[in-house]
Amino acid sequence: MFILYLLITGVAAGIIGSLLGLGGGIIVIPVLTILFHLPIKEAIAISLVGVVATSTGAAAVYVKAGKTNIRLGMTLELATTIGAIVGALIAGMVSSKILYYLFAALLFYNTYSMFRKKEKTNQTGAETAVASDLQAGSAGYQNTSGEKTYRVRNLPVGMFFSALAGILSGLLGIGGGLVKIPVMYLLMGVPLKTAAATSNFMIGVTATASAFIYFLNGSIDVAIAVPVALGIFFGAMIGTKLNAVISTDILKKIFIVIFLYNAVQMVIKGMGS
Amino acid sequence: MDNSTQANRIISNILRYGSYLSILFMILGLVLFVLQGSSTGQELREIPTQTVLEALGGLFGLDPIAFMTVGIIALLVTPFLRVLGLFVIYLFVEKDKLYAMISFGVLVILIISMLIPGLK
Repeated sequence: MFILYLLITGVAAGIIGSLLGLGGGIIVIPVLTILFHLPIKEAIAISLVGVVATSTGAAAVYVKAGKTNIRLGMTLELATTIGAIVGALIAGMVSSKILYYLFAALLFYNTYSMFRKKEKTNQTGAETAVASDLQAGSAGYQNTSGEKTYRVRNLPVGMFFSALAGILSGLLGIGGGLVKIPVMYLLMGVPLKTAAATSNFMIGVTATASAFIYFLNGSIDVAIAVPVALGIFFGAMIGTKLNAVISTDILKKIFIVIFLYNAVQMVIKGMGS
Repeated sequence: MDNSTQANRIISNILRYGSYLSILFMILGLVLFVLQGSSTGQELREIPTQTVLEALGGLFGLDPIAFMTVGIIALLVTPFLRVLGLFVIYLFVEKDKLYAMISFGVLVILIISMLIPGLK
């Protein structure tokens, strides 16, 4: 029964994550800690496995469609993987209380950025379109030459923020797209679609660096990680299909509230730990 | 241009087959787990982590945890192979020294991440 609940959790996280354009981590970790009462460090380790699963599955599609800027991804990966290792090591040293607070802060930031996007309706529409475009793996993407139409700017700044995204990933068990996509898009001049696909490609490698540390330390409970990761993987596939069919506007509104609630819960958990 | 398309295809295939393999093992592990007796949440959390060798050995005994562990290892090794594949492609196919070095750098960092837990 317990396994079934974990599977359902994973599927839900995968579907919602791909509909909202988030990795599964930001959904899985609150559920595992608040509903399943897992310690946050265990939840983080499990979430990282889910992040690798999601990225690997989705990246196979994106890379084949040629939307990923692999060269840029690999360059930034130098910074994110080092960051991920640092993050995983820090997570081993700090108290759970701090991790709960940091995660709560992350949820507040995520809620804020979703809220801000909602204000600019245009942008929301654009992003939804991006998501479904990417997943459809179709339309107008014979981009072997199209890739050269932009120039990557501000590489040092990008490397800095990538390292930060890596630290967050290793420390809090998230993918880090929340940081990387806006940085690539706004600061580095990478088109949004390419930024999203490149971030997705990178997330798997980044999360692997910290997941290895957690796994070899024995902090990944496979019997919990497997149903969750499988669930996320299949959930993300379902979400991809749904994305083309349904409007995510109402879902976003609902999740702004849910994320806020989760953030408060995480603060409470932090105070109790 | 042809080379880079080919590179994309190879990398994409590594990702795809790697995830199929890990999913296969994870599903087998879950099915065996359920078949070999249901378990409550409490018991589930007391399962010790297996080492790579223990897990590989456990496959022959149809140990569900061994299957799940191998599934997770396969999942974690896939991105590693992806980087290794890129390194080989940049070095030998595209003859792009800069990016071969960058990929090699990432590869080294990933190897370090595997060694760190052992340093304790």
